[in-house]
Amino acid sequence: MEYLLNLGIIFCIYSILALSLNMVVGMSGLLSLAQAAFYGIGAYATALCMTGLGLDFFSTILIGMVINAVIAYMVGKILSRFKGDYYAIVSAGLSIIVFSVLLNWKSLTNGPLGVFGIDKPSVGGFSFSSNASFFLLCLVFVAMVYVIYYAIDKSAFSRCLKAIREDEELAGSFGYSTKRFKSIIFVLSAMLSGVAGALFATYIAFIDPSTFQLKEGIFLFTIIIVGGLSSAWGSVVGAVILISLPEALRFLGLPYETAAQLQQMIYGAMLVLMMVLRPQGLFGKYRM
Amino acid sequence: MLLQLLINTLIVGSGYGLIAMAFRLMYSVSPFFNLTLGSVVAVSAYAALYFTPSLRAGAIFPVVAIAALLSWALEAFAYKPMRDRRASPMILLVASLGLYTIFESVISLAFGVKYHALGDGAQIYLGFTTMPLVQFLIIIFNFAVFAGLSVFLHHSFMGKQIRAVNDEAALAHMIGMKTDRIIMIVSVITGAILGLSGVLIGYDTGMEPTMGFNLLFKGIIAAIIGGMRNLRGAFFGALFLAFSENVAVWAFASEWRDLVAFAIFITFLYLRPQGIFQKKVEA
Repeated sequence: MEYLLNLGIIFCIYSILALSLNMVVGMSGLLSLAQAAFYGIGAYATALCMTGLGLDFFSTILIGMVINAVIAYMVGKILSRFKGDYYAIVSAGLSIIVFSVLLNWKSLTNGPLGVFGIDKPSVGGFSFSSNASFFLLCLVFVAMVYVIYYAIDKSAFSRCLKAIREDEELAGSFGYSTKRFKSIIFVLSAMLSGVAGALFATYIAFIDPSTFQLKEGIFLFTIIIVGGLSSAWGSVVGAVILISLPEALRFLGLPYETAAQLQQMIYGAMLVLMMVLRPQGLFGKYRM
Repeated sequence: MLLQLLINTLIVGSGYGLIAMAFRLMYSVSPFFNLTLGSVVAVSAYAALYFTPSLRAGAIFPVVAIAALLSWALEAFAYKPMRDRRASPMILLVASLGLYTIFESVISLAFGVKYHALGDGAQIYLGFTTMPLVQFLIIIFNFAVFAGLSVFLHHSFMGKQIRAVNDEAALAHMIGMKTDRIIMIVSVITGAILGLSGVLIGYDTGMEPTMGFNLLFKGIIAAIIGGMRNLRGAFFGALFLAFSENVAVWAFASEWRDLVAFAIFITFLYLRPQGIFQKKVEA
């Protein structure tokens, strides 16, 4: 039971990340590999504010969101000038920069040793220290992000994004400021992935930079490619499939290192197969 | 001190330069960011590790042949079928990401994720100083490949065809050029250059399974900094990138190398999206 709850919590965290990434990749057609960076910034904001300043969990979420919004706004100003493969490569570069800062700014982040002893969230004397209560907390956040995704998806705002996705120049010639739209959705997505980072940091109670590498960004990207681009339901299903897979491999009893490589290989094969057979993903509505 | 900086720039920049030129050449006929080019580099380095521990001409050529063959096979069995089904550049990019991941895990399974060093430390005496033979070879091959490719692209019929496909693929196809055949030939040449760089870099700095991605990334950055319009841009972009990295390492510390490289890259894209040497602005 504890095992299932643990799995459920991880599903939730990755569902939030996948939903927020799908706003950028699926809804707007921008191939972002930078999501792990904002996940990491959110996690570090919570970890450092809770251990260093003794702030409470819910205010650190807000702090992380604000920091992410500011950074994403500045970065978005640069990123929004690009599209297609250039967007992918520049966002990957940003991911590497953020990882490098987390790793090397030792006086702030404690470098490769990471931050430990992060408390579980608590509100008014009640602490979410049991897995069951933490799972419920995560579910609430997933539901919130899901609703936000759904609301954006049904709004006029998302119709503009989809117009940009299909033909940026045409959308621009209708008078829409395409750079501004691209920048806004990027900021929103970064803020929401910060929430996932905060949940991760308090759940694991220990974070180090290695979790937030470009590799993680590519993994998140794989989730939404498999689950389906521009689909809220697809993001969640993708997260469940790709998280369950290594758990299934665990029952084969392979050595840790072999299992890890095998898992990478299967992720790679999934990407290739999806691209050949169904580029929009299982439940996707957008074909790259 | 300054001399050392320049020599380091030349060594590192030549390594990046080979990869940047190969990437640029492939991009000119098949315009997407092909990440398996990085796999070819890594496979070549590990092939050298598998076959021979010391740097000999007999070690370089078989590996270059393997790399050319691998590059051709990827083109023939992966990308061409997808291109025939009208896959967009984004789909090809994601497929190449998947293939790259597979290659990286296969290498990790076969050789382990740990760093491997290679080479017997052979030195060469240049009259005024000695340097490792392999570093000398990297520089020589970089200039040779640059000169050779320039002549090939501008003074041979095949080269003209490649440039025609680069300028206007659809038109080239329409007037009867066999674009698929041209892409195949370019992929073999590209594979050979990448194989060469993989062997040499493997002997010089050693290898780990992630090396392909890291090196290709630097090559792509160099090509973009140089303007993405011709080979010369890739060549000089690589030297410029290596120079900035070395200055950064000298001024701060080596762990900030990657950050500086990407910061320069992004600044460049922001301020001069057309690259260092170009005047015309691309959209």
